[in-house]
Amino acid sequence: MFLRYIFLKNLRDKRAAIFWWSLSFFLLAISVASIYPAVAETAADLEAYIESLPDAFKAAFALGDESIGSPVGYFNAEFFTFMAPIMFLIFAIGFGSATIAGEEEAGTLSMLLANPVPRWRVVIEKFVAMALGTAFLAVVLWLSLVVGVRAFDIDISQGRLAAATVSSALLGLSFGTVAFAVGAATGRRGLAVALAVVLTVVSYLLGIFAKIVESLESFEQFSLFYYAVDVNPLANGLKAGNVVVFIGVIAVALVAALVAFERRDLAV
Amino acid sequence: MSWELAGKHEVDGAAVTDALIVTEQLTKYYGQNLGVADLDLEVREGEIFGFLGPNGAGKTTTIRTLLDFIRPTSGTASVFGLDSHKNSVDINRRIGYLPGELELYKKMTGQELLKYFAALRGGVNWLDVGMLADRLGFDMTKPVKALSSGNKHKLGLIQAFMHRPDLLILDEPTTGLDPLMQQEFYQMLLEAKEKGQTTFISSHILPEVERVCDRVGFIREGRLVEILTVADLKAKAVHRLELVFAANVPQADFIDLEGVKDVVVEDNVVRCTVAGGLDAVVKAAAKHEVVNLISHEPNLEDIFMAYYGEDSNVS
Repeated sequence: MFLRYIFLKNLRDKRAAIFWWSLSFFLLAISVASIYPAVAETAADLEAYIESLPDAFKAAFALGDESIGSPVGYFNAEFFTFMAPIMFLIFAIGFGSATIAGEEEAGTLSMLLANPVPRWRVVIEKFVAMALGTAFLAVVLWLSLVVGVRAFDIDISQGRLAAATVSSALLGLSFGTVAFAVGAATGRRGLAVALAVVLTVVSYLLGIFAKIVESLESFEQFSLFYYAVDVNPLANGLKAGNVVVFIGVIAVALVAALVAFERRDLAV
Repeated sequence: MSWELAGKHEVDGAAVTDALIVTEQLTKYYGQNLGVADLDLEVREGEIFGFLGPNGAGKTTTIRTLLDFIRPTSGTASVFGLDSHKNSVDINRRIGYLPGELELYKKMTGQELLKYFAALRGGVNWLDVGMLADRLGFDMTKPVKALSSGNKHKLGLIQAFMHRPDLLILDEPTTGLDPLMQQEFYQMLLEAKEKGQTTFISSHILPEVERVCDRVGFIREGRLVEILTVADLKAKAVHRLELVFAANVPQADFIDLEGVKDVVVEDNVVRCTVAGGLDAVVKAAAKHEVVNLISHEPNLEDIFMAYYGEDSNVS
């Protein structure tokens, strides 16, 4: 049954990668949870240390209002402000750039399109594969976190853990879809990765500078990291307004991929 | 005679009603580089059409346009009377395609790959797949990456034939097949023809095209040179002859013979090229004691040279 649809075949191709990603997420979630009790004990010292750090540094790691001794402050500082988004970004950008452009560079895309399959269907199914892969990892991560916080008796809401996980996954998927669109438009995997990474870094730095430099404050809303990290979903939950931003970016990139891929010549 | 006129003349003279592939003034540029120019081509239902030209002549460009992988810069291409771009899905449903540079999913086994493509196509009888695999001696359980180039090619042939397509488009189909498999492949083409399937086959090897095709189109540097039936082609074929005699022969006996060119006489050996039949030269040779007669297979360049002389380069 995995050979009946393009998206299932794509996920089947990625099964080994998805397994190792799942294992990584699981181990990471358990490790982060396991360290918390020790951190909580020495929270006061850490607080004092963090207070002494420059504002820019605190901004970069989103060491915001919560104490690092609190579960929310700890999980944000240790995981959701950097590690989780980065992992989803790597996964989604890698997947998105490989699925059309990578297949084109490997020379198999024209064999796929020699079948009676319209190009839009290839784009949609390959996007669905990337989105499902990302969603699967988000579920694995959330379950791992739930197991971790239970095992180490950490008082944090499962719903808020889900909110933070979904936010990171949506951030990853957004830039992954950008890579996907660049790959669909150009057939060049390297370019797709490069452009998506550059956009990610610009977006990340914009978010940080918006926090440090007062005159740039209004620019924070142009950083996608703002909607995934700065709005603090671990404390505040998932807000529809923020989710809509990601869905909008993904939709625009997907439409761009559909239009561009429909119009262009396939590479040899 | 200009190249364009040569192409147009053939199309004008042909019946359009039973045409399966029609290109009209098909032109494709890759940036500044010419793929094909003003290509008027017509492949009739039920025939095996050979598309012959040196590497880089525009054969693959034409084929990729028919499959809607690339779009014409100008002009049109239609297959089954349908526009190659607008109706590409309906067209591809009825086409079996083998690319010149075959790349398949390396991690899948032959069986998985064929199941996948069969599912995307729909309506493939798995018994046909098994029969094709048996016929070609193809082991479906091996992953693609473990296949030799010959076996990979067999897999390519199976996926092209498995849905009994109305039209087979095969780009350099015998590359990598051993001689036995080539025989089998030619047999498959002839059987397909008996069943009413049409074949469009590109090649740069003249004898390959000669043995199975009904008609041959010559393409060179993006332009159609001429379309000939294979019978006409054979009549026009240029042979390079080498005659070895028991004694020295006078050059005068061999120059000025009909169709004979480039005569070189060295003592008892005569070398020449002959266009068309060999009758005149054989009769001339028969006046002397012939020790050996070697006829080299005509190659594509010889034919181009015979038609268009030294200045056959198209700018």
